[in-house]
Amino acid sequence: MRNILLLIFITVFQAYADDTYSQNTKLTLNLTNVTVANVLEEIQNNSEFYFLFNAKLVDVDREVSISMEDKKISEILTVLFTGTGVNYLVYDRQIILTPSDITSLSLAMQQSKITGTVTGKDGTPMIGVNVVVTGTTQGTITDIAGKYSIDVPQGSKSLTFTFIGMEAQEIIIGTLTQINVTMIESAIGLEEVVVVGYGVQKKVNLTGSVASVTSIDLIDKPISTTSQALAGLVPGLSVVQSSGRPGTSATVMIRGTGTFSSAGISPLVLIDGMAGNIDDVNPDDIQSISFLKDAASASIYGNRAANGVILIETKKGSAGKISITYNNSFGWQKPTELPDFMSSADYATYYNEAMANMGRADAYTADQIQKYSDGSDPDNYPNVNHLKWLLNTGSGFQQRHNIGLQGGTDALTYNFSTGYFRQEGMTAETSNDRYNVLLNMKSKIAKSLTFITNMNAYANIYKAPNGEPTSIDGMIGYAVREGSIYAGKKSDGSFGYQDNYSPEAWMASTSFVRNTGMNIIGTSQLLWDTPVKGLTLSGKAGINYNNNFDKIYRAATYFDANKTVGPATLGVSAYNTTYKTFEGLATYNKQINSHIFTILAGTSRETYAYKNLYGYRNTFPNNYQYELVSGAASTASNDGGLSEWALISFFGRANYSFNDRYLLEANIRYDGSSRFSTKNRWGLFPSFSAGWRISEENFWKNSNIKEVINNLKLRGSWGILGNQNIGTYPYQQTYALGQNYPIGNPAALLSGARLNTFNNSGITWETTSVTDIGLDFNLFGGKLVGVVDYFYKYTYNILAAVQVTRIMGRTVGQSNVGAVSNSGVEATLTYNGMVGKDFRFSIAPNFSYIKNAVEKLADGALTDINNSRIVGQPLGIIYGYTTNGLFVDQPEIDAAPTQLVNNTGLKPGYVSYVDISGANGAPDGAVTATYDRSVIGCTTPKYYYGLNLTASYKGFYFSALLQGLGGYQRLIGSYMAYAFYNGGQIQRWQVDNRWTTDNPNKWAEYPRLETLNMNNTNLQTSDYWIRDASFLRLKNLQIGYTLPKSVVSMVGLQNLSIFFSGQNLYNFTSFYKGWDPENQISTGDAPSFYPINSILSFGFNAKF
Amino acid sequence: MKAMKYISKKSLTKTCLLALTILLGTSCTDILDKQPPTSISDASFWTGESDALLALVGCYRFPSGWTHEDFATPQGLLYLDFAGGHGTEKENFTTLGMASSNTIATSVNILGYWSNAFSQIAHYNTFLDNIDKCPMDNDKKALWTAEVKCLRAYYFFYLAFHWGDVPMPLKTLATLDANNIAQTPQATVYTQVENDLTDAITLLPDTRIAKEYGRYTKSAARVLLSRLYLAQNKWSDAASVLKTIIDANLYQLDRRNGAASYEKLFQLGGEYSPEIILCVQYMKDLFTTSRYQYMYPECAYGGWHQFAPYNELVKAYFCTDGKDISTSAVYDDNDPFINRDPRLYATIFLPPLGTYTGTKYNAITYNCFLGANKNDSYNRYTLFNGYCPKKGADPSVTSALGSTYTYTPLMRYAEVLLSYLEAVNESAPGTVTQAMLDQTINDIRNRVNLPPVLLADVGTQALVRDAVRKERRVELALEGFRYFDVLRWETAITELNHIFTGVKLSDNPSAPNFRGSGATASPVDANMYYQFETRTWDSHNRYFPIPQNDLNINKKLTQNPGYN
Repeated sequence: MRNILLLIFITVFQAYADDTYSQNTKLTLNLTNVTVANVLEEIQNNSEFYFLFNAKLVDVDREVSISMEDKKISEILTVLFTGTGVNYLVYDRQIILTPSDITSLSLAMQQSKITGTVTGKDGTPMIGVNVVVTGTTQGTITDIAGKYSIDVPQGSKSLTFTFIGMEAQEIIIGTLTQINVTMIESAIGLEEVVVVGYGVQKKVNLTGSVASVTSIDLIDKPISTTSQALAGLVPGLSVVQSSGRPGTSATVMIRGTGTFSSAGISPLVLIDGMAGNIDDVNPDDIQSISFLKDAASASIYGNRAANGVILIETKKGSAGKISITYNNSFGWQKPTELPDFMSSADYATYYNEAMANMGRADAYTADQIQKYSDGSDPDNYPNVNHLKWLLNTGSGFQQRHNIGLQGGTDALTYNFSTGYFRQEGMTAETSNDRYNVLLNMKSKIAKSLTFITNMNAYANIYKAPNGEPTSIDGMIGYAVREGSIYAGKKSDGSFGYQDNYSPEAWMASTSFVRNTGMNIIGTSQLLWDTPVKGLTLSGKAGINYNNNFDKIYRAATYFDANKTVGPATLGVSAYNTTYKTFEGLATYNKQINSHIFTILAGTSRETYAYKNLYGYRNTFPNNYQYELVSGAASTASNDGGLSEWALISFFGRANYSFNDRYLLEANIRYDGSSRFSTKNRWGLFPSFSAGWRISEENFWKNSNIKEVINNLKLRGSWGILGNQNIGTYPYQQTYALGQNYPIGNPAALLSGARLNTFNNSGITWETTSVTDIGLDFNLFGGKLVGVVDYFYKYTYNILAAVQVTRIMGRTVGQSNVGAVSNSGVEATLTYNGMVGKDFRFSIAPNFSYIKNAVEKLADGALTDINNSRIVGQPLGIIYGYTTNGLFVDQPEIDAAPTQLVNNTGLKPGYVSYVDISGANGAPDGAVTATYDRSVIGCTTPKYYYGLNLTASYKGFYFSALLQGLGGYQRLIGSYMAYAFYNGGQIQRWQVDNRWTTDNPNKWAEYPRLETLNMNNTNLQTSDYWIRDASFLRLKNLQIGYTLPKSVVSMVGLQNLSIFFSGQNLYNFTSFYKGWDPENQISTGDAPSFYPINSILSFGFNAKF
Repeated sequence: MKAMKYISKKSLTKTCLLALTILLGTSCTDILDKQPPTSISDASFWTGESDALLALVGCYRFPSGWTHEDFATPQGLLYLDFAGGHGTEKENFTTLGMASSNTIATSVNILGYWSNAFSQIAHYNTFLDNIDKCPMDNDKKALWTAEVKCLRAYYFFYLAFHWGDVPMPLKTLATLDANNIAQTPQATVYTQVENDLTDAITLLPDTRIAKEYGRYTKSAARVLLSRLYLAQNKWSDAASVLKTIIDANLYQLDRRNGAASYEKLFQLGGEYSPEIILCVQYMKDLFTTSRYQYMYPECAYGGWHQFAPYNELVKAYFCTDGKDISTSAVYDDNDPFINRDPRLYATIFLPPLGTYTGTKYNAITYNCFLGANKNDSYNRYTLFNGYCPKKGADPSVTSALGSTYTYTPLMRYAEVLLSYLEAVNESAPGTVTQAMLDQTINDIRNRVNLPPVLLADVGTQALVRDAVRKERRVELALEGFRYFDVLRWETAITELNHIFTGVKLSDNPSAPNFRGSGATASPVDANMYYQFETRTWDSHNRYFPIPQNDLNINKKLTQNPGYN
């Protein structure tokens, strides 16, 4: 059957050759007294045909009248050009017009003639290549055989051959009369443009450090949010997926942890120029994403650019026939890792061991253990893995559908798309539904006026079960604690539970969390090509409106006869944010000989308001009423507020390039922020950059090295960026209201006020200076493309709370307290190869090394232990005790330095802390918090790397993405790391590698088994509990097949491909067994997390 | 294309220029002046009495919700009682975290008391810094100042009592001040507390009008002053200040509910009792604590049974004949809960044992002998022992345990009576008369139907001391006095250095309290009481460690001796 199918494909393919379009397309024209040029334009606007001709040789100003109905293009062209000395050639959608008598024409012009053939690399003739006498507008186009013939005036030096997607070639004429040229595919798009701040720029002309990804990198991945798709793609970009809960974003960071301020580490994200959230956009709608990593590229965004800028461009329409696309995918998720908990019989056995180790009687009799083991009485002697149960309650199914509509005319182009994504959790009743609508329109409302409208809207509905604690993450966290000796649902309908935690009972209740969000981003822009040549003015207005309605309902929940957790409570919050921006821009382009200038000047004003309203009631008539009005009126309470900020900015940029060889750029931004007092309100952020395209130098171009190194550019930049993203009124000393207290007989709640936070009125901008030196190169005709950057980023005046003792009695607001540096190297390479004619592959590794260091702390302090900051050390250090394994026996304890607790409280198998130092700088015989703690690890990764592999063979394509983080450690705590902690359970790795009296291994992975609580001496932060969290993950694997055009066109499709894709498939790591190092889990006693998922999916993409 | 109408170039230029002018022109910088709409900025506060009242209420606001470690929260007071040997907390907060030779400077519990105290003090200081400049009635200003100084004195007193030399900020601290403030000697802090209180006493009213109920009065300040004197063994000072309270005759022991008066005093409505001198009030749904969630036994509406009172406390309760269990004729060690002081039944959930059928709470019978992994089972957790605290539990509350609104007594008249007797006996033992006994200890005993203490039976200072200490222990149990008492009496070293016990067990396999056999046999003492927690207490534990958190920052702080 397969053979037959294949046979049919080939036959069909042969039958429908490439001229199908010209054969099938019928046109109607009705034009009077117009020029030929008008006719050609009209044809172009109403079809996919386009014309190639040299206006010098083909007379298109001739006036004609034409009236034809439903005619093939060839018929129209015959009517149009018969007897005018113009030949036409139709090749699929491309129509080439040439004078019929070139020879006579050339003779008439008394010029010398050069002929030749232009071929592709594989020797096939190339049609439609532009051949121009360099420096003139005189030229021609190659014909169907790749041949050309051109008359060149005396004294002409060279011919330039250009073709889209190919590298331009300039050939010296000398005495040649025949010039044959082989065109080379453009090495990573010399024509490729990249979106930069307030504009686009040719990639080769960039002087800043900008990385970009395109829709191709994002397609078909079974990710739920855009942020998740970026992992491993771009050097210098860290993407950490901390949770697998439906709808959660990944944390995206550019070039290290720039600051420890609450201004945060998030890059500024602009979607079609509007500030937003990276996950506001449907991944299917993205055309390209640019990452502005250095000051030169980002400083145009001044005050919010310190963490880098991410520019997202959505897909735009283009003139031509309407194309409709439909993409989908269906996938299933499961946790990447799950801890291996002991069965209830084992739990009881090891619990007895723990009791014995504590000098206590056994808690479980042999008879009871037997009952746990044989399952004869599951209500009283259960064996339930609550975590596994909980994570199996959901289907984990996800599906995505996206329909796109693109098209337009010269006057109006549009892209409309609508998408739906549903992700059901691994836990029941947990889901996220997202509806996206995107509409981009560009209309030419007059010859010099363009009106651009972008609208991106989504609705997001998140649903989850609710209980105690009030989130699915919390329920999972406590399912980690609840041992297998606790029953799930019992035969009488009651539930086993620990404290108020029982995933089974909460799941069975009608409790829920339901968050509905609606977001709309709309911008309108008017572009005016002014009468002054090269000067464009534009005005833009935009709004990002986000409206949310969240409900949290907790039913009165039945656990068993003596426990119903209640009463039912309902909290409803409605809040919205409105972000408005107005922006005026002027750009001016000027070319004087080889000097090109671009100047941009602009101003913007942004305002933001957050409004919220909250209502609460408890005690409902039953568990199926969950509107506020149903709750007991006497319990009603409410809350509400408003918070605003505003920003005014003036900015400018000047670019200069000479011969496309020497590139200079300067940016400046002047920002005023409502977040600072009038004295400190305004900040100035300049940047300068330069580029040298060495490969454009004559010595290079004329040497053989050009054959190997086709493109080489050296870049350097320096600039200053700001950050102000810190609360809304951070400089004002304010008394918080709502600090109420009951007084009176009978008591009445009186209103109170307190100065809860001590603010610093003198704060000003957090500032980051970035130096970047980079090298871009293309080797071997574009087969190997690389970018290497060194950067040094110094953030000072960091806006963070000063470290303060509790004696202060209140929290402190931000001050300009310190400095942090990030220096590093990042590199990316892409090798595009080909084996035979059809097998193409690419290998693209990228790597970043980032050295992070705290440079300065408040008031000259060298340490801020409570916040894990030490000057000279990176952020995220783990500060604690050094250990010398475990105590093996009593003599070792007796000989040991005084430990944290009285040595009489120690037993063999306890963690042995090392006495590093003392008051006099030498070990003092006692382990003390002051002298014996040091930096024992760091949670900030040093290495970020990725490897992208792609391959295609005929219609098949394959891609793999490996991603990793390295050079860092992590701790996990409480129920995750410690056995029998606070009534928690026990895992296999703890059992298998524990210290026992029979095998008193000093280096055992788990100490003497005992029940533990928070203040236990063994649980001090120490290197005993630290694990290397480095990992290498097979992030994505895809296999797809694009059906032959010939086949799909039979069913009216232009394109159809099917694919299988897997996400987070395998992880190489030496972290705690059963715990994914990327999964963010707090180390405290109220753990809450949602496991990261691996996803298997399939789907298809169709284009009509 | 041909159909398109071009706008005339001239008008177009004009339109566009106009649009741009509007755009650029709107960059009026006024929009950068944003004022917080949900709080009051410093500059516009302290403008009159209503502002000052907002701040005053803010001062009175004691920690609530899930804040535990504080000298004025129900949980915080309970912890102090347990630290003093009245019980233990399931997660080892009170023994390990507060009062044990294994207590370390990174204890989160001790940090909690320290932080919350200084947080309250910061608000008091800000009030005191600003009230002078606030335009309002001067008498009121003086009175409110006195109240806030009392509030501050309360926390300073406990800081100095439990940590010794402590920082004593008397003004709003800026960050540098807080990071460089040194410790003030304990004696100086005590003097400050004494001065603030004595000043306040002259200004404060004797009683409060109904709508001001709950705010400081002369008597409340005097009770606090008496604690300060007791802490310093200034017996005669204590006696005289306490006598003024008694002589003012404003308070009396609550007898409103007959035999149930003691039990009901701690339940809802008890805050308005004639016995209450100062308390923290709460309001349903609006200002609550998480107390019942922790305190209720598991059998009662899903409490977490977080606490286990020691059998040592249970044994300290008298028998109905007024004698303690070692001398009482009505006490039977095999039937230990029968014929006991009614305060025992009001204070502790007791399991069925002997002829005692178990504490009933509404229709629920508390029972710790239902077997392994059953609710409240005496050995379900390592720090369970079969008992559960009951004092303050209000049976009308059967849901929303995490939003408890039963009040927290801070000072009540029974304390005044007992402290007074103690102070007189210590300062002038010869002046203890039967009348004085009747006015104090016997008034208390009479309320719970115990026979009076006769002067004839307590003829020496030591005997009176013994009687008053025993009475104080049980009358004020679980109200936050025990650690204060054993520290100032210097009895902690003996009281807190032994194996603590729980309920009585049995070797009889058919008895409900069978302790198991072989490896599963629960350890018991000679009288078959469950031995479940060994406590060690060193003399250095007299003071809490200065929290490591602050030592890390403030280099002028010195750690108390004995802590690493």
